[in-house]
Amino acid sequence: MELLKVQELNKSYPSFHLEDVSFSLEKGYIMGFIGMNGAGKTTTLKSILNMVHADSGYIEIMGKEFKSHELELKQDIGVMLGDMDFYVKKRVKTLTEVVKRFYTHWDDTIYATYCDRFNIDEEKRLCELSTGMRTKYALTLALSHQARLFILDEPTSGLDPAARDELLEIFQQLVEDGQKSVLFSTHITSDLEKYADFITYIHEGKIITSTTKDEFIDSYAIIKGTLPQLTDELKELMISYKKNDFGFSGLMKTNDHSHDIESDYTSERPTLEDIMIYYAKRGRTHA
Amino acid sequence: MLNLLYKEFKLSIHPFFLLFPFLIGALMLIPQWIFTLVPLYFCFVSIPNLFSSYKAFNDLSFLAMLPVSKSDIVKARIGAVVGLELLHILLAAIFALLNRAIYHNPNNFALDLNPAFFGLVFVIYGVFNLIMLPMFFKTGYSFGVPLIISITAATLLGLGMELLIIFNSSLRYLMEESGNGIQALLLILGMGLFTLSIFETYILSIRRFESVDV
Amino acid sequence: MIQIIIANSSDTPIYQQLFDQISAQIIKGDLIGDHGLPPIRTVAKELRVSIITVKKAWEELEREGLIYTVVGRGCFIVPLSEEELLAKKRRLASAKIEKDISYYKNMGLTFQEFITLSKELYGSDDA
Repeated sequence: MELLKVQELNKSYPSFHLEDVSFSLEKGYIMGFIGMNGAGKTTTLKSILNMVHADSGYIEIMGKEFKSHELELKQDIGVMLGDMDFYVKKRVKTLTEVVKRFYTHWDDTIYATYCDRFNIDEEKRLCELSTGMRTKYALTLALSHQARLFILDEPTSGLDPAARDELLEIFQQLVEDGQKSVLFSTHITSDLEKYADFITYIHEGKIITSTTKDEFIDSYAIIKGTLPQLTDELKELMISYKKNDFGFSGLMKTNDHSHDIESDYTSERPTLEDIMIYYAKRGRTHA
Repeated sequence: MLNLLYKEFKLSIHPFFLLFPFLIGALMLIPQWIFTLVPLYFCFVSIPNLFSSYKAFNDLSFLAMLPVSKSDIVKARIGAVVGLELLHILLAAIFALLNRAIYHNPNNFALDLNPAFFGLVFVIYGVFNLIMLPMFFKTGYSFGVPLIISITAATLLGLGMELLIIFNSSLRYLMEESGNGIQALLLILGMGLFTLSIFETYILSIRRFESVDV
Repeated sequence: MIQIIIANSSDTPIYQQLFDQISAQIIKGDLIGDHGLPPIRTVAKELRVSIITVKKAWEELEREGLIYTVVGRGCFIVPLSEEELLAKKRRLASAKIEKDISYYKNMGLTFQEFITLSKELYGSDDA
């Protein structure tokens, strides 16, 4: 069952367009939503949540059209857009006291369990918590109101590697029961290299691919060769390439080059970061 | 809606602004004063503080996280402002009664403290809300320009009336020398206009806020 | 007890590593018939790899006839006779060797050289 379905989302700004953004997320998985800064990640997430008014498009969450069931569905969604930077002078206890009233399925036992597990000191003010702690607190709130879909914008930015790793481990625990899904945006792709089940890649407001992580990486190859091998035909085939004094390296779709690959090219499996970098390079050269 | 009102008073509104009406209300005891300044202090002091703390506390991103509708956000915000205004009016009225008890002479060089005065106070707040809140909800966070315009309007209305009664004898008669019946009518008229303005404020605010991208 | 060690920086895809290690343990007889495999999601969480990756490895194992799925209960090791195990061992090993042999042929390694090299590399105890 699909927890989230996004279809043909469009939104125009004077200098930026979201174009036909479509993807879906099944129950029980982690999806990484990747793209460079300004590619449209936050706008997409906000459009999903109807915080930004899309020009057109259709959003379905847990099988229901979002706009007409917004309040009901928001009960089951845990949202964190950026750092938890509101009411930072208030104590955790006070914030919780306010937040819990909004949720019909709030469970104090779950709340206490996670506060305990994450070592959240309820007497502390939000500004006294580290970024990682605040993220954990946000997750605790979402878990306590028994959210099933977690939509998180850049939850790992600003965290040190240990805290990032811990957070991703928490995500994996969240989806272990097969009932919950996590959609999180990030530009730190090393986070996803291991744990993400699905990748949705947005570039300049368009979805390049949305598929399983392995399939995504497997559909690209990095080709390296000498300068004489860099023919015009090859240039056309590559998403983009870099030249140095001794040779070139470029990114290709695997189905594009498999038919006429010469054995003296070196072909490598790219990382998510490689793919993003080469796409960004193409953006610049085409611009 | 009630949860959001709870949130307004628990998180957003500093307790000082619940105490403030007492302090400002006490100004009603100054002999021979321009008393429309008393309700106006709410516009001068409480409102700017309140709205700057909404912005400083990133209230909008907090609200965005919650399962609430935009119309509830608008209702709660209007509810909080109107609630504070009513508190100001109530305490001002109590101190006004004290004033009359202490000085025995109701004749003030500016507006006297009588039911018609409070009718005017309701109208001042009504006008203030009607300008401030719909303008604020055009963005949901920027409050500078709405504040300047609404304060100017409220001040012109309040102080303008104070001046007008000096020059216009029939207006002075209406506000200060009319019988109890007309006084009561003016108060009720003010309350009626205030109530109407709340509805209009809500309709305009929600229309604008619905199209805001958070 | 299943033993799995994942090398994240290896060239071998993770699902392949999972497949290789589990299939080896089954064929070697370390994992016996009808023994249950841990749930896919738990394996993913424990190894810190994606669920899809584990699923893919499990699918490969099932295709090889090494494990079977009972709906609602999970995956179990197929009970195999000695002969069946031997056949599977041959099949999997020859598939691997086949890949490598084309590489050796390309570089002109003769069969004799290949045998000599293999003997040296395999070590004394198994030779």
